[in-house]
Amino acid sequence: MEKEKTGLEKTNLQKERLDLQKLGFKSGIEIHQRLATREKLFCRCPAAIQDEAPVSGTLLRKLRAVAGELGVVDPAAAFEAARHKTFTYQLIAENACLVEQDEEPPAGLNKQALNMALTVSKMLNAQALDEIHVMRKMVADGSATSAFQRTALVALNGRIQTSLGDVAIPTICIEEESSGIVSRESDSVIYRLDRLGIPLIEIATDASLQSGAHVAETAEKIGRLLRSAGFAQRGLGTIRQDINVSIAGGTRVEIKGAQQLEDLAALAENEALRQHHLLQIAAELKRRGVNNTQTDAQKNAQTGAEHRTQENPHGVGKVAFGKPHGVSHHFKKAKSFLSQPIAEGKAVAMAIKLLFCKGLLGREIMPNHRFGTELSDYAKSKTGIKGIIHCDEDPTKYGLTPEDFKLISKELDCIEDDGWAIVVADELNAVKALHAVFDRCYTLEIPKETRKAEGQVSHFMRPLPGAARMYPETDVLPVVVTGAHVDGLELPKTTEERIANYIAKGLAPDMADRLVKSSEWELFDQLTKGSGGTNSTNAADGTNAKNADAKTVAWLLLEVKPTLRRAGVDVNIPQERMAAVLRLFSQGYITRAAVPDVLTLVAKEPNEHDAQKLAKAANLLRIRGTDLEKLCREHQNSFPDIIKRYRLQVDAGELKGLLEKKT
Amino acid sequence: MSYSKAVEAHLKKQKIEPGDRIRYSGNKGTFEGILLPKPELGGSESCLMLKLDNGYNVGFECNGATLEKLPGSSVALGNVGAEWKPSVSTNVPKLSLVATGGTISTKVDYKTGGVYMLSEPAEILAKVPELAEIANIHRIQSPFRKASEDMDSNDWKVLANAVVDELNSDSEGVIVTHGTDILAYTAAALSFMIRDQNKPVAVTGAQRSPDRGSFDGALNLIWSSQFAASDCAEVAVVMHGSSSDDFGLAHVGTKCRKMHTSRRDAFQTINAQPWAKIGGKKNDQNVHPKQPDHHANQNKKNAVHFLRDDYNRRDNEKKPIADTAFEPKVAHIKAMPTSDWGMIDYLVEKKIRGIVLEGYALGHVPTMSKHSWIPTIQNAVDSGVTVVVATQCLNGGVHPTVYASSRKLAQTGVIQLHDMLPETAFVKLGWVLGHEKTPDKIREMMLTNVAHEFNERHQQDDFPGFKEDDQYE
Repeated sequence: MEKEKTGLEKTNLQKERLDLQKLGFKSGIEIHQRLATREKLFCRCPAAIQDEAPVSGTLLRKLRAVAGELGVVDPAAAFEAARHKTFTYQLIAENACLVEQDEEPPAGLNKQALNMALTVSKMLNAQALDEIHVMRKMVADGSATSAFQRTALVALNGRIQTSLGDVAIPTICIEEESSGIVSRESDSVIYRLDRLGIPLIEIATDASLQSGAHVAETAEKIGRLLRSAGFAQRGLGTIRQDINVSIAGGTRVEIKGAQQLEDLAALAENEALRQHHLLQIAAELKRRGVNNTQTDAQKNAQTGAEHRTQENPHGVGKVAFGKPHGVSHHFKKAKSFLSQPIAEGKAVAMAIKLLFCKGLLGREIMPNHRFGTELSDYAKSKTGIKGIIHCDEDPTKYGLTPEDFKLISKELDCIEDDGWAIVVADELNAVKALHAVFDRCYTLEIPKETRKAEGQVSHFMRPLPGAARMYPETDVLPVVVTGAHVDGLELPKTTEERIANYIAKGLAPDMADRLVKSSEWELFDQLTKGSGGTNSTNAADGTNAKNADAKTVAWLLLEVKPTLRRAGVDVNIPQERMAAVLRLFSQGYITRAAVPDVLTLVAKEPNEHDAQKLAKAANLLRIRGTDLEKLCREHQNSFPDIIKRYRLQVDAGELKGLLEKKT
Repeated sequence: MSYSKAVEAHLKKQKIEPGDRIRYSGNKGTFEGILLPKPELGGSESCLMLKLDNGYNVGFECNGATLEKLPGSSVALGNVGAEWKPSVSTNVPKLSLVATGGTISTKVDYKTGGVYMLSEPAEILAKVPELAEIANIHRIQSPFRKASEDMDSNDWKVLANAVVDELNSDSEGVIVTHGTDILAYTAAALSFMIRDQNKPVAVTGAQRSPDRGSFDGALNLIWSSQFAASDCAEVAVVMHGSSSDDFGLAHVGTKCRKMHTSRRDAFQTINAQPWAKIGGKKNDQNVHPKQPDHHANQNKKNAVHFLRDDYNRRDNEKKPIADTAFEPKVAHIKAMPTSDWGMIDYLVEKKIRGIVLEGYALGHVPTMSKHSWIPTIQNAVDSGVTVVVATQCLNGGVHPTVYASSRKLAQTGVIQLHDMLPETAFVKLGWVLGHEKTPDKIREMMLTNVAHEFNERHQQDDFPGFKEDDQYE
């Protein structure tokens, strides 16, 4: 029955078309892009990391929550510290030094990274600050060994054009990348130190984004700008988008770590959906009789207070945390993954009544994400438990029967619309988890949260950090930025300028567009350096062109390379060897048709630097001029015959010309 | 550094002071924030430093800008106190804290980024609330508050007296918090000055400031408390034993040296083993088998694993005194290629009373032809200056007879100090010269092992070096 109900709601949810404007949808994004600098932001370690670099040792740290600049402990930091986690760091000698280990003071701010950020600021029409101050932003999740991330505001008040008008970019920062997680347990996390300290640029928009699509478009525009400037590191995880979303009556929630551009729109709109449904659930709880404020819920959770009883079915207005009730006996007989630990005495099943909550726990608030999931996320992150079981679920998931669920309700004295939640864990954690479930359940305002993106939905991560988390980095001196310095920074071409330039070089508009979006444009620019216009296009004699023509290069990079890659050829060929193959073609030593084969040979023989020798050995050199005339005579001037037999060695244009001349 | 005169004048005209909320309008736009005082170093003196509402500090050129003070919104700067309530637990050891200064006693003014000494020594304990679970720090005194690089031998006298006061109280042990620059020198000074020591003294500090979540002083204080409650009536430097937050080491006060500028495990015992390892893995093999004392259980409970047995045991019958006589006219000279021995003549002229000569290797100085240091050293000794010799190798000892150089040196009447650290030699010479006047007595005292400053048996593990097994896992 519960299942049917959930299924039905899901259908409704999918059909639901939210009128974002009516909801008061507000969204902004922060783009974090790793910069393609030589060195890290505050030490001289290389900024490019290799996943296969060996672990050279480990380091163990216990981090503490400390009072921030207002003398109060930041809620996010306190939350993490309360978990008493031990952090282990894998040392990667190639990419991390004592600075990353928090064992040596930082070196000065990386000037290359700063100049990239200043250049981007200029491209976004932002105002560079006259003096840049490095700050410490407290992070207690262990992702930084120092328990802070170094960050500096570089420029203010920029803007970027979108289809819905200019979007304001209030701040542009440079900051340190965090450590990457290797594994996470309930009481410990293992990080790798190679990523820590790579320069990131953070570009934040204001909250004026109007829809999910607008969020995605803006993120794409900013990402493209960074890539087109040549400042972006490439590869998985090198760009991350944080989305801020709120709706009227809701609150600002930050969703961190979205990596796929295509998920952004859904993530933003699903968050609006979540807040909308949470507001409805809160209204329903109030209607049913709950009158808690957030502080009441927390206070009562500590002290225990009045209950709604059978005698007083409408309750007392305030809901209190009741004594957790042991329900292990239901699981002992069940065929469930939970039965064994309970039978072995390693875990107990504890339940609490959730007054007025029946039917609400199972309500879907985002696709495949119920109110119960929200409660579960809080319990998980506070205690490390695996999850909760609630009354609106399908009992068979846990090897129980609807009858068991009814009995549990009875044992907990549930009446009418009372619900319940169960946690299976050691007793201490189970009770702690149930407190977390209870507190979240009756927090009727939408909590200010940092959430973690998982596909198109998000999960609770920690409370939103407050203003108490930033103070000056005293080990690094402020950097003065003069107007002359900013004026002297050369602006990279914009995407539009780049496309126009490629078209002028002879590419078709769609090819030019594909090229700027691809990761090959830098190589393209290198390979076509000095070649102008279209005049060298595949010339029949082909001997004059020093450089390969733009069309051939684009064809090589956008068509040939992917085809070869799919065929299993390692196409990460150094630029100069790629150029050598193109030169063979442009100088008429090989035909266009032979280019893929010669490139394959070059890829497979990384130690042979003479591409011509490889082509010759494979009998791929072009037959032309007098040799071709000889070939024509041998084959009775038959075009099809010659092309059939010498497709890779003969240029069809030259052959055709020759035959026409003869007739 | 402060703001330029022009900026100061501009601010004064508008009656704006640091801490005020202002509106800045310049060619880059209009921004609001709290005006901050200029940090001590760096930046441009014509740039106004503002804290924006997003928490970032930024600098704007003041020249040509208009400023407006926004009403009723000033913030108090430098007000970063923290409350601390003394522990009232009765079943944990009572300890004394003698707080001096240093990184462990600093606080950051989060508004300005300025670093200040704590105004109340108890604030140190507010940074480590969990300390209350293992110790009752019921007596706190702070005889002075200085960064350790600013301390001198008079401060050692004051400190030794303060520590002896505490040793004579009902505390079970004493923790001294101190800057790390000269922490090892101070530990040596206390080792010599405190006579008839009855209880443990842990000298500790921090390599990371308390404003950070990675503050190492918290664990150093915890480990110090555990050591101070142990049965080891010695002066020990208690700091991180590794770069990780896993165990502490209690180093021998006279054989300890700061060997790294910034690492947590900067302090090392040289030419010997530390007294004890504190914390770390439970199944540690290093728990010393011979612990017959009443505090053995306490040691075990506190995870103080002794690495050696030759320490003085806690003894409540002893009445410690501070024997602080000290001669500050001691100089330290390091033999260097092409260095000029004329400086020894200069020191003799200046009526210096003792010289620590940090020789090469086994205690050598140039002895050949016109570059020989021997005549000038002979002159110093003959003039009544005590010259002692230690090695700049730090590890290993000086030797009087292996090479001609040290034999010639020995003949001048210098005192060769075996494996004593040069810095310890410096402290000990000052202390001995404060007590003895005759060359024979001085020599006798210098060569007497007063506070474990000599180790006559060096083991393989006393020299760290590269350990292959430790490098890769």
